[in-house]
Amino acid sequence: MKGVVFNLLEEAVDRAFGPDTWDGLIDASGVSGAYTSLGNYPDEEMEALVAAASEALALDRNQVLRWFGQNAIPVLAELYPGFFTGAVDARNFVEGINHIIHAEVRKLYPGAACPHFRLHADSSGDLVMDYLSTRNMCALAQGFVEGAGAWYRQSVDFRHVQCTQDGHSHCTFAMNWSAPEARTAAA
Amino acid sequence: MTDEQAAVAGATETRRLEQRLMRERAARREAETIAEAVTRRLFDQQRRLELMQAVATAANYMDDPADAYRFSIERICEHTGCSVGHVWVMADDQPDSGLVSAGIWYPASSSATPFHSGSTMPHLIPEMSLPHRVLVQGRAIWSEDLTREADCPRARAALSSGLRAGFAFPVLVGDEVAAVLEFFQSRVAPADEALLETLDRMASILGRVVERHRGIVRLQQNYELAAQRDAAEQASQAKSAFLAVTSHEVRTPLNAVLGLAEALGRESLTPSQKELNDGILEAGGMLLRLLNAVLDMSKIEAGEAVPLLDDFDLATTLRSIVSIWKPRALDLGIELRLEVAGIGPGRVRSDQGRIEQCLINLISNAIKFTPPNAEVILRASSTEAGARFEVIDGGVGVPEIDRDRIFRPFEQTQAGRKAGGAGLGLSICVGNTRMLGGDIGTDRDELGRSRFWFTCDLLPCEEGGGAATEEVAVSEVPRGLRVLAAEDNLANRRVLQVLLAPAEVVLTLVEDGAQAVEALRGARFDLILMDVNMPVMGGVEAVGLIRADGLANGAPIYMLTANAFVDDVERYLAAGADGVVTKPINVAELFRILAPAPSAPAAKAN
Repeated sequence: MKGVVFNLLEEAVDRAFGPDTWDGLIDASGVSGAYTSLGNYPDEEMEALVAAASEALALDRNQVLRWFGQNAIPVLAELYPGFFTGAVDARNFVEGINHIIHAEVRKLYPGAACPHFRLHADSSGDLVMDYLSTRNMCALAQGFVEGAGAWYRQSVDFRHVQCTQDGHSHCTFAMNWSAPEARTAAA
Repeated sequence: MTDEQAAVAGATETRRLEQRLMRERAARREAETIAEAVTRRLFDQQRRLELMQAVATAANYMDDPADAYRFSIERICEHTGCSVGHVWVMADDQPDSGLVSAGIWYPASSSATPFHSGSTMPHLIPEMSLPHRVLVQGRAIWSEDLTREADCPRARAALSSGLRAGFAFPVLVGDEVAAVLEFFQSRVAPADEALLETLDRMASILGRVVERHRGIVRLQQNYELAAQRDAAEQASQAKSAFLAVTSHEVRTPLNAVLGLAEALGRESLTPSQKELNDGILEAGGMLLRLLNAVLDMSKIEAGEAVPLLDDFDLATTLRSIVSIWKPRALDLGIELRLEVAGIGPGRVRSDQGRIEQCLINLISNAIKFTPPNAEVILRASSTEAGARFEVIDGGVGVPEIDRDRIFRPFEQTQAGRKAGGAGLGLSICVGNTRMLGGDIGTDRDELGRSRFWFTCDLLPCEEGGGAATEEVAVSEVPRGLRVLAAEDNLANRRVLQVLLAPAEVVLTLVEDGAQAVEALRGARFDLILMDVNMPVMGGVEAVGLIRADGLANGAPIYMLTANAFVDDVERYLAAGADGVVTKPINVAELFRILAPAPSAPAAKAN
């Protein structure tokens, strides 16, 4: 997993709970804790950190990942404002995930194994997303979608239609958003 | 919080900060290492791209592969730090011909090491050598350490010249290896996969220089071939023109001979004199037809030939051919016999000259190949569409494998060459029989004798098969007709005088078209006879002028010509002539023209 994801997690934890909590998670999970956005680290280290957080916060893995996604978005927006200014609303942002955001990620980090999202609008106008990844981090994806909704000041109705954790071949999400509120200031 | 507690808390805090700092430093060092590796990789990539671009640019403007190879090995040596670069090419630029040194080295100046001199010897390229492996696999190959290939004599030579590692790549035209470029350096070096990939792409870029060069060579060859073909065509045209002129020159006196012999025939001759005179007419006619056939052959070769259809008596033709050839055959102790089945007397329509030409070719061949005291048989039989002719000889015959070949121009069997001849006779026969809707071949007859045969179509006679219509008695010609004849040849003018004398015409003779036009301006005539080829003004031009100025006053104009080809006749009629009188002039034909209507005009005038 790309170092930038660890950086995002560290920053989100720092902002929410302070650096001591991050120190605690590193101690508890036994990982090195030295991450650079240019590096590449074993998925197991992320799982160990999530497990430690899960222990510390008395939340399950999915809840931790979802929280992480929600709280990573503001950090991401500060690091890469271009990802957000290009999209007019949360739905537009999510629709650009494959060809804009992941394309940028691949430029910065050649060889990044980005998950692929199959997107289409269903008859009711909902955006339907198939999530295909070996990492089983659908909750993180949900968190990102919700975080993006919050960043655009939109409420999002996120339904997890099917999940690999229930034995399906891939996860499917159905989403729709409220109209965006006028944004008064950058987050 | 006691001081002690505060101190413990402070120490814990310090330790945490130190740990964070350590993590930060570790992350930074790692980031720097990664960034440096990426930068190096980018730099290498950049240099490989520059190398690639330089080679591609050179490949675009260099026409000679050798120049492109020389440039490439220099740039690749500079890029890789290799001390030696060398080019192998396929012998004679032919695929699968084996590698030979192109004599292209980097650096170009030094060529005295044992490695250099050894590389020019092909036997030093064993199957396991680097260039040979590249040739077989068609891709770039790296040899990390030549000491591992010390059993290869060339590797030993390289080692003794201080070279330790090397790589080589092919120049590819499609899948074909056109050349192998090899490089050596003095240090052991692991394979540079990225470089090998670049070289593999270079393979087809350099291959395009080879392709282009081959294209240029091919164009030059085509140009040379075209020049040779043009020269051959010019020679052929010169030959045809020579033939045409020569045969015309021969035909003019021949026409005179025939005309005078015809006139002589009308004198009172003794039977033996008449026989001699008939012989002159017979042989002369055959010679004339042969001449026309020769002219026609040049038209066959140019694809312009058309059959010259006329009505004639086939049985008589066969008999006269045999009677002419019989004495010659007898001189060689050979009997020439004629067997005719199903062909009666009476006239048929075909090209008499071509059929005669085929028969004469086959008979003269048969006599050549028949030993003394044997016989040659000419067999003629009718078929559904026409006739089949067979010439059976007493020779050994043509081996089966040669039977197609001998009908092609200038192809002869060994025996044919010994017997002499140009090898054209049979190919002329092929052209003739095809034109007459027939076929030609050689095989053995039912008794196993050598046999040549051909077939041709015979059309029904247009004149209804009778010969009587041609006969117009001189008495039917009105006395005192005024005839103007333009003829430049003195002998032919004499023939006209002799032939027309019995009809008691008033003959005005002029020597060219201009004089004919002048004569018409001053007097009226009942008939105008106009030669075609004359100095000052030719017959066709003169006819045009006469028609344009209305000078004929109703007198018919007949062209006197030996050029009786269909397209020629059409040209004369288009110019305004009423008909054609072919040379040698047939008295009956001439009288028919002189006789007043309702006598049928000459068939050719229609």
